[in-house]
Amino acid sequence: MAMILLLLTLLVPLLLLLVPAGIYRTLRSWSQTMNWEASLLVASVVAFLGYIRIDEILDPPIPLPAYLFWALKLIALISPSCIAVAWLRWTGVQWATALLLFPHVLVGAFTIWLISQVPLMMG
Amino acid sequence: MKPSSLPLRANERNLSRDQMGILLALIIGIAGQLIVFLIPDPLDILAPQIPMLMPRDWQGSYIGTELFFTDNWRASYNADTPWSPFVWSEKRGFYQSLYLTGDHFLSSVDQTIVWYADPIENANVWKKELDAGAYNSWPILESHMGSDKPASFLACISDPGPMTSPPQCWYLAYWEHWFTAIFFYRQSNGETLTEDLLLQDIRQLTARADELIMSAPDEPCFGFLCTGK
Repeated sequence: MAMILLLLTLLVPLLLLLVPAGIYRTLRSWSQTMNWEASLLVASVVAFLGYIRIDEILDPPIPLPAYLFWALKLIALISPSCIAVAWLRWTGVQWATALLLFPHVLVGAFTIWLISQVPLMMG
Repeated sequence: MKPSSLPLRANERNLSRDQMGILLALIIGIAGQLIVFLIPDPLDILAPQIPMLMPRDWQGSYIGTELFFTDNWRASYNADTPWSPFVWSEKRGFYQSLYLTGDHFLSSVDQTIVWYADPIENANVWKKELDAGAYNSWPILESHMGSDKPASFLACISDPGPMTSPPQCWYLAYWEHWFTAIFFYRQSNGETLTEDLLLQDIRQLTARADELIMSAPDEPCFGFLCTGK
C-alpha cells in the first residue's frame, strides 16, 4: 500500500509536469505539444481499457495458451499508440518525437491502473 | 535528367516512405483495436448452456451478481477441506445471484454450479454430503436419492440471526455432470419480518433448478473451449 502511494506520488507528477515540459522543449510549439499530450492521454486510456478487457474476459480458467494471452495484452497496450503515432506524424510531428509516445503510453496506462486500484485498497 | 531534380525525387521518395510508415502504424493500430475490443466474451457465449436460475424463474427478481467463473467452491465450508483452482478439462464453476426486493427486505438466491468432466467424480464428491444427515450442522429437511431426478437435499436453519428472516436454506443437488448449490436467504433492514422467504418459493425454485440441470448439455463449451470429455 505504502509502496503504491509512493509510486503514485512519483509517477503522476512525472506525467503531469515533466513530460509536457520536455515535449514542449522538443516541439517548440504549443499546438503540437497539446496535440502530443492529448494523444498521450487518449492512447493511455484506450490502452488501459483494452488491457482490462482482455484481462477480464480471457483470464483463467479460460484455457488460452499463456503466450496468446500475453500477446493480446501487448496488442491492447501497443495498438492505441500506433494510431496515435500515425495521427501525430500526419499532423507534422517528427517521427522520433511521435515514437516517444510508445513508452509514455505504457507508463500512462500503468498510472491509470494504479489510480484505479487506490479506491480498492482504501476500501 | 537535370541535376537539380535529384533532391526533389529524393523528397518524393521520402514522402512516400513517410506515408507508408503512417499507413502501416494506422493499420497495425486499427487491427489491434478491432481484435482487442471485438473478441467476444467467452462467458457470454457459454451462458445459455449453463443451467442457472434466471429472473424469469422467480417472478419479480433481478440479477444481483452477474454470472462469473468461480473455482472457490468447496465440498463443504470446512477449513480442513483442501482447495485448489479448477482445471478447465476437469471442472468448471459458475456463480450468479438473484435478488428480490421488498419494502423492508432483500431476498437472495445465490447459486453456484459446477460441471464435472467425470460424472463419477461428481457422484463420489456429493455422496459424502448427501449421506451426512446434516449440512454444516444444518438439519436436512428433505432429501431425494432416486434416479428419476437429481439427488438432492434441502438443509435449513430456523434461527439464522437477528437481521435474517427464517428459513435460511441450502439446496444441493447433482445430476450426471452437473452439481448445484443454492443458498436462499432474506435480509431485513431492521424491521421485524412477519413473512418468510416462503418455502413455497424455495420449492418452486429447487424444482426448476432440477429441471435445468437435467436438461443441461454434457459439456458447456464452444470451439477451442471444448475438451470432448
